[in-house]
Amino acid sequence: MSKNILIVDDEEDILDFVGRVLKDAGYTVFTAHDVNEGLAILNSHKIDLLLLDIMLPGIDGWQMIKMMRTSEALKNIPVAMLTARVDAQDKVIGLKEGAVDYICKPFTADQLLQRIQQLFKYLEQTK
Amino acid sequence: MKLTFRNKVYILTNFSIIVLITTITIVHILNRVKELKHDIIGNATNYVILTTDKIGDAFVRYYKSAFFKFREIIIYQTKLNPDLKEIKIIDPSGNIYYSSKEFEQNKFPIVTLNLQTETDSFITKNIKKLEIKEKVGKDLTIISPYLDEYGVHSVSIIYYFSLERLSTSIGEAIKNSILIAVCFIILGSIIVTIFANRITVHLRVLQDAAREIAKGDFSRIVSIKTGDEFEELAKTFNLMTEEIRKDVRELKNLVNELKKRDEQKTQFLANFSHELRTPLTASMGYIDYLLKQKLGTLNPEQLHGLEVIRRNMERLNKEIHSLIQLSRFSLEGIKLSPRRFSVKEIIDSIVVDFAPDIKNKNLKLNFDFKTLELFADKEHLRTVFENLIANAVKFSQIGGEVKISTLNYTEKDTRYFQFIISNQSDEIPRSKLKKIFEPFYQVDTGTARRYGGFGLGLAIARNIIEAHQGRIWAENQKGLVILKFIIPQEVENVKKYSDSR
Repeated sequence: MSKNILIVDDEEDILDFVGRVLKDAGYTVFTAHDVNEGLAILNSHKIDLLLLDIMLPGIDGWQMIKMMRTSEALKNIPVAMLTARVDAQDKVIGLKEGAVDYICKPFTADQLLQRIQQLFKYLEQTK
Repeated sequence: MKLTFRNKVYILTNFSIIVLITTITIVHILNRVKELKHDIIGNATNYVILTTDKIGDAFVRYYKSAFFKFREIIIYQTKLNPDLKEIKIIDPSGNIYYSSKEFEQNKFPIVTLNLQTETDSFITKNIKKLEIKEKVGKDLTIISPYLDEYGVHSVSIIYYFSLERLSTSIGEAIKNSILIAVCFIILGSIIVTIFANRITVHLRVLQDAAREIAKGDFSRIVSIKTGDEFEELAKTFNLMTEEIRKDVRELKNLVNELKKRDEQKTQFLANFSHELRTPLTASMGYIDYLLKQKLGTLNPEQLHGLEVIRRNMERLNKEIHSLIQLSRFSLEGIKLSPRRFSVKEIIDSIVVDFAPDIKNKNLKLNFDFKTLELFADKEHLRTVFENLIANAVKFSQIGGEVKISTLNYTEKDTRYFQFIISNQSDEIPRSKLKKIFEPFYQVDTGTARRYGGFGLGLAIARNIIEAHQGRIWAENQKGLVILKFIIPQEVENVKKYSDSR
């Protein structure tokens, strides 16, 4: 059974690229342009992984994670942050907020797929 | 022992009161003694003058014929003065005829009087007038000559007065004076206590206010309405508080302003980074995807064109990465997270990344590693090694040799790590050896055109090395350009060093 992945990013081109790569790799892909749209999809579909951009219009990625942690249904969904930042400070904040992984921009299709595969493997092991 | 101001005032004032009252008391007692003595002596003298004739007459008239009558007169006269102890009647040769001691000695009645001779020169000298002799504090002797009706000096009368009354009076006076003095001292110290408390109450108010201010409560206003220096002090104090309050408010505003600016800077950096990297992600991602023919087969010309785009995007990405890194260093500073790592491993992995360039330029690489481990910020140092190797590869002559060596040495109990990288190329003019570590600097406009790039690599390296308390510099040597840096082998040691400084 293919995994469901939700991508939340306000950049249409990123959604297009990441969506294509993941679809080609056999994942079922959902896309959202902002947090509200993303939360609506999370609540209506069974999502296995959320790829979340940090800098979003209105509510940002960190706040979305906070909102998810308060919801019984959403708090266990793993999150990988798509970030343009690479410094350690962001990582520390991210771990406190419960993010599982980071994928730093720019990334290639291979890098992205490798990370996602590793992540699913890790989640399988820790189940 | 530490004395409070209140106790100092208290002790000093009490001491002054005691000294003052004691002095007054002593002077008072001395005056009283003088007065009393004068009194007693005056009384005695008057008494002597009044009684000499009577006693003398009685002696002449009755001593031989009517002794009891004579004695009666003596008894009567002696009772008139309580201080009188004894009367003696004596002739100018010193023969004693009578002593009133007979009453005390219980020799009554005396039949015969043993005529004794008084040898005291004071008494036996031929006196013509009243003479007074005082034995200090004990008794008073007055000798008075008696002249009979024919003017003949037949006998003298010696009076012995006791001064006991004087000493009891002095004792009494001292007792009273001390009592009064003690009363005064107690009263004085009560007044002093009240006074000292009144002073220190104000001081305590000021002290409390100062303590509140020290805790950061600048709204405290001191109110003292005494009309003296304390009120002035309170006013000055309030003025000072007001000034501090203003300054603190200004500082708080400034801090807030700075915090806001700092946040803005960080936000700017985040936006900057996001805005540059997001388009790169979509572009580079698709180029790479196309090149891998995931979206259909491409002919060789198309593949070549895409490869050129990819390479240039990669270059753009590197420059943007450097730009963001340098901006972060200057806006946020460098935070080190040191850990132990192998230098050789890192350099080997970097060299692998540069393999295509090394091959293109036909460069020979030469390694000489002496130090294998460092305790420093691994990611930052990776950037330094990357930038220095990139620099050497970029500026090296075709077919030249790039030499990388490391060594360690100890200086002042600190172990240092030194990294040396040299490449064969045109020497850098001496005046520009330092400038190459400045951002956006190229040795000349010609090289800028020849080699391209912003020239940020060495500036970033310098920032990182200096954050590690190290030093980086460049040298020329017979057709070689050599870059060297030194950092402590254990960055922890540096932390201790800078802390103690």
